Amino acid sequence: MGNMVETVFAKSSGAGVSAICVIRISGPDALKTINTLLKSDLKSPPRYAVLRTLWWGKVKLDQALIIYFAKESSFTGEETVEIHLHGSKAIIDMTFNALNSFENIRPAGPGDFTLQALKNGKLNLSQVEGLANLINAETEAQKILADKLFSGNFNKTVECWRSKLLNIKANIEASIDFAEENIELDIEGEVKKPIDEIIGEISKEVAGSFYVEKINRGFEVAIVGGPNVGKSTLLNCLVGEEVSIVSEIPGTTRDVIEKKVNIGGHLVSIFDCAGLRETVDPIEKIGVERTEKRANSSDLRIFLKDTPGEGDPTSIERKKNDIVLVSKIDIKNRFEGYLGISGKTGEGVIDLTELISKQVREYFEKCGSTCNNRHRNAMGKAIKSMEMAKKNLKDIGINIEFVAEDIRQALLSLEDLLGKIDIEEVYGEIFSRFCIGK
Amino acid sequence: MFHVKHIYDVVVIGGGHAGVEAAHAANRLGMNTALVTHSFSKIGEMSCNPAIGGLGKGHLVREIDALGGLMGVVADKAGIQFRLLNRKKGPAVRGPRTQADRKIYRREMQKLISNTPGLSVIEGEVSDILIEGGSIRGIVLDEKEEVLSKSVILTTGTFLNGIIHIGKEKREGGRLGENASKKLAEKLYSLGIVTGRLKTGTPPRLLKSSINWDSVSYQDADEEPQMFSFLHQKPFNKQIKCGITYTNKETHTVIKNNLKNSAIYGGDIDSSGPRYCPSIEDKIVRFSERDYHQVFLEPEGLDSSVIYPNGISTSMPEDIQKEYISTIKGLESAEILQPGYAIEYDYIDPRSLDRTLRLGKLEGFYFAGQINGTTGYEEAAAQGLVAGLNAALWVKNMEPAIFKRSECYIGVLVDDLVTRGVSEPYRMFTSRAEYRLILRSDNADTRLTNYGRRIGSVDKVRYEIFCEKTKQISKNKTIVKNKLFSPNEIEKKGILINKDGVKRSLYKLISYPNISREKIEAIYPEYKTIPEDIKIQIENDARYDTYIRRQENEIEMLKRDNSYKIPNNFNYSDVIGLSNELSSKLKQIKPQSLDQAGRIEGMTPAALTLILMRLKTQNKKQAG
Repeated sequence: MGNMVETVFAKSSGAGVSAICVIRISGPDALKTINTLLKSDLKSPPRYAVLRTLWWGKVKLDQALIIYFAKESSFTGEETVEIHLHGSKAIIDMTFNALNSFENIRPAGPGDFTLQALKNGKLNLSQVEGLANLINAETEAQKILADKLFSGNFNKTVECWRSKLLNIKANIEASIDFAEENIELDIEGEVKKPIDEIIGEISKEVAGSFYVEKINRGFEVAIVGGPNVGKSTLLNCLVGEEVSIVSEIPGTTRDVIEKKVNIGGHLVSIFDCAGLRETVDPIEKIGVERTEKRANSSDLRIFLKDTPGEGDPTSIERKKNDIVLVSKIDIKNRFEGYLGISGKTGEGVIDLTELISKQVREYFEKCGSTCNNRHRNAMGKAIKSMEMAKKNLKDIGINIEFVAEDIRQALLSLEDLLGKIDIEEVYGEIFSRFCIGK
Repeated sequence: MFHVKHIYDVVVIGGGHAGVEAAHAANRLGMNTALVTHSFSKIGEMSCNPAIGGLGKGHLVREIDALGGLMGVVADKAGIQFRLLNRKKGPAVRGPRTQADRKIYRREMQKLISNTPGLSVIEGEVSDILIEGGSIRGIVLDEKEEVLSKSVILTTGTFLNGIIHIGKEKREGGRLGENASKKLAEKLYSLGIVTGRLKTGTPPRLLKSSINWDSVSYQDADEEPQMFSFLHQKPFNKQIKCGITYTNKETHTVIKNNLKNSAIYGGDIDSSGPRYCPSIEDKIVRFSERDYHQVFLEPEGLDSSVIYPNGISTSMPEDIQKEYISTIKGLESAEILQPGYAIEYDYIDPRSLDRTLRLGKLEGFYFAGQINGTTGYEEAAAQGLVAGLNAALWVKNMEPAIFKRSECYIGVLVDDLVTRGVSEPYRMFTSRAEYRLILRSDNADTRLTNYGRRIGSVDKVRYEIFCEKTKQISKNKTIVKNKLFSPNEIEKKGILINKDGVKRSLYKLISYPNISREKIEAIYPEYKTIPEDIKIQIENDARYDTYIRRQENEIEMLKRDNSYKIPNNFNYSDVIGLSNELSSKLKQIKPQSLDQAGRIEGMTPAALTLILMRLKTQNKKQAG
């Protein structure tokens, strides 16, 4: 009995052939394992890279760079060894086979290393969730948002709401339990006002969470306009590779074509929509309908036109920040006061990306600390309980204990956020999102 | 050689509120029981204020009564000013309370104890506890006599190394004029469960005739008094009023100038006192912005010449007490009969007890009352009941009586004590009960009497009253639930209602806070014929309906968390990543479920997760 932590190993660098492959071993037997592979003791101080030869019995595996991390200063809180091998498939396979032959060590499952870190108190729950996002981050913006969660910002915010709510509850409870001491409850100042404040703060975070989601999923830009106005050419130009089929026959793009690009550190999804025109062709009709739906729900629409006077497609609503562009300025005259663009020559494209970039930044600035569904649900529940409390406050004489109960429910929801309740569900969700090796 | 006196099933040490309740409960379950006390004449003594009940405390008394206990019955007989606190707030947070005549309380309690067959009272001092191979064997009386017993319940209140402070003057003793049980204390110290010191205080007692009653205001008893016991309908005594006066700036100046002479502020006492029942010195130091504090002038009895000035407990020297008392309106020439004093005492760490209040490491040895770190008669009595029932059930080899937080305040009390321990004297509040809307004082019998009957704690008379009441409630509830009225019919009686064409049941109408009982009776005149206590119960249930359902759902969820049982032999040393502090707390408290572990002070979500994971891997191993 005693130590229950298992030793696990996994390839921690990316998939496929690479110059270097990093294998991480973490757990109580990490050092013992490497010593066996070295046929001698490692004896290097923690956090020093040393070059050694690895053996599996009589077979030489590779000459590898080895770094040892002591328990106290490793990511997992366990003794950890990193082996930097040459990244060939043969070397990796042989090394894995060697490691698999040891008794007290097994390949890591998804999230195993992070789980060790959590167990050892190196990370808390929302940090773990932030870490998942961090690893999956594709753009700088996503990385910054994940960092917010990973560094525990969200936890601090929730703790702050919680302590404000506790304060309200304390005031109510004092008025109930110390009725004999003449403790008067100032409903307006001690209950209503702070509840409104907290609802406001949480609502802002909930709203912010949708922006986080958008930033993570990609800011959606729809290119709309009549047939053959040059939408596909523009998309191809923005993306820098041929995605849409470009031809001069109207109605070539019959479905929504989506491409993700990095604009100014942000993930942006651009849709090239089917040309919008009345049609009898049933397949083209479906394309048109889809286009309309997608275009209307996008974060931004670019209305591409032959001339500025040309009307918008009737089925697509133009919103405040949408952009109107006159296309094909390489072969046409410019129109004063209107942005022009040529997908062919690239003229005006920089101006356009800057415009898009500016709007994504506005979204980014509205971002909260989380976009996790579990977090959003719990915040929603807390708000609901507080709205209930406000309703009960209207008939205060008899209902103060109901208000207290509503606040208690809101507190429970926040505690849920801090990971106090239903740990199991939380676990299922979090660890399923990790790839092996982390 | 010791002389062996008798062999009992249960011996209770101490004749305070915990002791009598414990002894009587064990006796109700058929145990041959002895109550050992210094003096029979002190049984039923109210050593602090002459009142029973209050917020949270009143709930406890109702629950004790629902289980066939003594406190409610005796308090009703001694009650001279019944008041339902928080009457303007909802029924869940209303607390019955009464001023009690000390003499009648003592007399009635002593009568009950001495008239109970199979319950003996032994006068003497317990000098030792007999322990043999991890279980209890009995006690030694006055260093010469062995009293053998299968189980022992210790309820010695503040007697453990009690020191009384009046200003700089110190003397040993539990209450004024009584000896502290030093020898017994030594034995308990050797068990390693004594944890620290607490303090509490009392105000000076005043001579009634020396108070100028014309210059104070008054508080009357309720016009419709609410009894503690489910057996009683109306008070046994004439109802009196209490005087109310206030301290003032002058009072506060006298106290501030003499803080160095106070035992509490002069540095003689550094143990923790209750935050919520502070001495007048405490109040003035801590709430320095307030320039008055309320003082209730409570008569100690109908024909008593003593007044208990509630709100000014103190440990100032006698002459200073006299000086500041004389600054208070109405008390200008008040005569002090007995000075106020502070008492310091040792308590045992209740976390060394299990949920039956048994000392974890000793079979058959139970602790109840103030010695466990609580304050208040009601808290003591409730623990006495729990210990008495469990000692008996253990002797009878029956399932222990484990009261849940979701069932009763008694459950909240015991769980808080054994799970969280105490750092200041523990007092019950309604806010300690998370299922407060369900645990009302009006339905204590619905929650507990059936169970009490099953284990033998509730007698036939009480049970029949309860069954009749239950029958009435369910019959009348069915009636009001099936009486339907259209919006038109309702509006005709002058009630504003949404005219949506939907018929509403009378039960639904009762649940609306803005519809008074008169209006209900106007719609359905037969409502008047339903007995009052039945109506109250139906009205409360109706009003709380949605919230009750919500809380019941939560309790269901809790049951699931509770299903993660932590085996007694669970080894916390195997849980990697658990801090030493938490690990040692867990080892001591031995929570029985994950849910209980979650309520331990300082417990973190991460730590709970670790325990859960360890439990699961262990289960997996056992299964595999």
